[in-house]
Amino acid sequence: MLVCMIVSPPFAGLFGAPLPQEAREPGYFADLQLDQLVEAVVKGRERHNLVPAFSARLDDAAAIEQRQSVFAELADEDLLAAMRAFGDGLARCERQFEAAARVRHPRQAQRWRLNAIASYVSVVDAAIAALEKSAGLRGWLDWLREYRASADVAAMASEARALLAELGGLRYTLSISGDEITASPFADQEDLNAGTLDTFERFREGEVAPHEFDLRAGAEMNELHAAVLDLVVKLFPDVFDRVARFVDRHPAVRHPVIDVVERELRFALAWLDFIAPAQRAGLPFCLPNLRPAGRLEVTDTFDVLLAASRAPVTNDVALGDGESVLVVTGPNQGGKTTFARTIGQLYHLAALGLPVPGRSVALHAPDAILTHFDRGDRAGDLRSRLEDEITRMTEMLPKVTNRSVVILNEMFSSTTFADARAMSIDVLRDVLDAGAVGVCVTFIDELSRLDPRVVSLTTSAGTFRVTRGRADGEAHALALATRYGLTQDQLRARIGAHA
Amino acid sequence: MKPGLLSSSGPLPPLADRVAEDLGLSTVIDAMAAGDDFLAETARTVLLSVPVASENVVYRQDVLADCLREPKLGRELYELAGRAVEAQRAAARSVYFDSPETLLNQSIATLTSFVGLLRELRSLVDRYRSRVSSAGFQQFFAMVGDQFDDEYLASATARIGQLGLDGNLLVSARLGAGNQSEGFALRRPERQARGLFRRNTTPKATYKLPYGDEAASRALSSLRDQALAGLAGAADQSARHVLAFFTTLRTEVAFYLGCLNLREALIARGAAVCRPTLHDSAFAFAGLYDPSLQLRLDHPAATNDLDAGGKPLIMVTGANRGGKSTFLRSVGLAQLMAAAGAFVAATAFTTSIGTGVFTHFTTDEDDSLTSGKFDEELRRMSQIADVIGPYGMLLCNESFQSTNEREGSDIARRIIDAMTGAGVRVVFVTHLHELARGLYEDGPPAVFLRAGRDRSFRLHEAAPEATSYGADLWKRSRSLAEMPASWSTS
Repeated sequence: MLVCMIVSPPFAGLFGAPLPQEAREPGYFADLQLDQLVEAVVKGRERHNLVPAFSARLDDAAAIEQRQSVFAELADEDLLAAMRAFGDGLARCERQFEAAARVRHPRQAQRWRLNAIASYVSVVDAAIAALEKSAGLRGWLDWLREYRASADVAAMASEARALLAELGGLRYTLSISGDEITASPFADQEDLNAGTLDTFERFREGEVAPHEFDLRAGAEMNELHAAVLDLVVKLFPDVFDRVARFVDRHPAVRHPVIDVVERELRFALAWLDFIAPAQRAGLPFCLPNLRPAGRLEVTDTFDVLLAASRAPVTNDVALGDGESVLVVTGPNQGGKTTFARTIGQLYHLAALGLPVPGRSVALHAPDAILTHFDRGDRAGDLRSRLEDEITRMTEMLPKVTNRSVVILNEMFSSTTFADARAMSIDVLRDVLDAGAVGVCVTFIDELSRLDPRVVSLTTSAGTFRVTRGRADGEAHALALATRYGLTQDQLRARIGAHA
Repeated sequence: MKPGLLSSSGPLPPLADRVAEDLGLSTVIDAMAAGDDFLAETARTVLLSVPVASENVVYRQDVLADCLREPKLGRELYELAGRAVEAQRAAARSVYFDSPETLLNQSIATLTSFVGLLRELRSLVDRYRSRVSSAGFQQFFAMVGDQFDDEYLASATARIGQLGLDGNLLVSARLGAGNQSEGFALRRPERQARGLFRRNTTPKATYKLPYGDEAASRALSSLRDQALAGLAGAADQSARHVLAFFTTLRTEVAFYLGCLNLREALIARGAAVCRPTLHDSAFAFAGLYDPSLQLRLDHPAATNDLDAGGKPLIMVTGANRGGKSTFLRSVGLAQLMAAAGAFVAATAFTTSIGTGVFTHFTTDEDDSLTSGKFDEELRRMSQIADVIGPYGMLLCNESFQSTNEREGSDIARRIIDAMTGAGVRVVFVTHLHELARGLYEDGPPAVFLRAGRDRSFRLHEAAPEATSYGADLWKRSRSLAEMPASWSTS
């Protein structure tokens, strides 16, 4: 680990603290469908073990803001592309080391090690070049520059490149005759492949897919390749000896700081790649403003998981002075549950330091997110379902503080209306008295008039939007037209886009 | 290198199948094909493609005029290009397994045939050169004369001769990422005219396969395959480029042959066809009929005349079975054919070449008030909005009648206003009186046509009427006495 022992400035990664490698799944994950969301976000990246990083919420505003500042800097698309290339390059480097361990011929293994070292250097150089063109991530740039300039790394880099260029420049011919192969240095004989293409070049109109032969050779081909390589080594012995000495001097190259940053970037890219289709579709994302507990002000937020498959409804919501609990009523299939889940997700995602769905979002970093969803799909009769609900509720309520967020969805739906009303009122009073932020989806209208601190929201079946007060009686036809993007304004914009 | 007889042809738009079905295009296609599947496929593709610019339409109209004057020219080109396709198929049929060596031999056979056909093409062009006047044929003929001169054909023949190799291979190589040899290119061996001194100083290293080692022999034959793969690929690629030239020629000529076939079929039934006139904003026609209907009739189909000027909206109301849908189809087919550079089924037709024809037809006769159907209609309109652009043409046949009249009219009105406002030409057949009346009173500039019950199937300009003729049709179907023509309230 010669290269790793250089003196570096103190730099603990982009986020200031490494992302967790393990974390328990929070209790609210399933209710808020965050389990599905995280699964979708890390899909195809399972080997990087990112689920703990998306599960562990930060509750310290400064730590959240540190991550937000990184995301703000990654808004620079060139920089983002460069950071993606950084991860891809390190993965390629890793595969090359693996290949070196796999092959048996020493000249082949040495070549793979040389490739891996050169890849590593290129990854570092590309990252520095990209960071220099950008204003972002200065701390990391400083570290990388110092690292790259250190005598060991600099010498390793130039030697690896020179050797690779030399190997790449070797040209020779093979003459195959009977059971003999003869190798000689290349003497510039006419290229029949190119000559043929050239003769018929005038007919070319765009590319035709090249014919794919199934030329998979058996293991015996490796032996022949090795034999041919031995011939080439005989033609050019000196360069192969220098490669061997070089790779022996550099058994390991990766610096631990590189590993930390790689993981942080994989976390950031997983999220940014996940939200990219929604962003391209015109949906807004923003970095939340962190506020004192109890403040909530959101415009144009939406269900980010739904946005992956179709255009979701966007909603505005705010808690004014003296308001703390949102009670949502309205017709079935009106988007109430989706709304409640969206608000819950917003608190979790904001506390990870991520850009969240919405044009503007202001909220606090909660000490706890507590959810109570009707688990109607659970087996058992109504009585045991009610008992289960009551147990869960009585366990939850004492945990509520004035820094908590409580999401209640259709509580006590398995009992009589009168009982449900009485119990729900008690629950809501507890939440109000604790001073927590709450979202309560209910079919019981009285809850919306329970207390001045309650804000009454309703949904309408046509638009799925959640607004203060009663539905505004908007015509069903217009609602439908809106849903299909067929209002006058929507149509004009859509047709205009094909001009 | 492209024959360039069709100039460019756009891609098929997403809703092409729907448009073809709604307009009854298949009957027209059958007449164009006259039994040749390739003609059918080509006609369908060209007619339904995203329209080309209007100067390209005129270019095609001129080529079509040459084909009409020299009917054998098109057939000879089609037949010659067809033989190239057949030569390629015959060579491919004789190959039973996939190796570089067999592909190389197949390509040599194909290329040899192609060079012969290029020679024939040149003599065909020489015969017709003075008899065409369109820009399309003139540039194609000039290109053939220029690109396939004797010198070129001789050099191509010589090159094909070099591709037949003997048993020994000389191949250049370099080291790949894992130090294996790759980047093989076959080389022509140098003549052995060098002195003794030179040969001795060339470094050499030789590997001889262990005697009787079968695995090593297999590996060597794999290496030969790899070495030959590049040359076989180059020869194959070359053959496919030449084939593409012939295939394109065949496709382009096929479209014009189809137009000639359709013209013959319609004229045989006593119907007229005309070369459309292009105009930036006008929309007018005389003697317009539905060619698809005419091809199935023994007597002349009903015709319509109209001059819509620059008005973006044509509203059609009136009696059931009065010829409204037929009219809509005749407009749509004429627009598709005019935009493709073909003849149209009319005595005169003036239009602008827009950005494509889109149809929104009721899917069946059942107008039940189910929300599912209304939803489906909205979804289809939304799919159209995904692709339609300004200067497109939208044909609506009884759209949004699957909900109540007020709601249907409301939705339709919003869509008509937005579409016409964005520059789309809309032809709308409807029984929604609230819609028609509203547009008549204060809508975008429009022509109002009405279908009568006089069985003439001709439409006339008239204000929308309050009563639809559903009851009329109902009574007729019950064999009751026909209502007098003055039954309407207008």
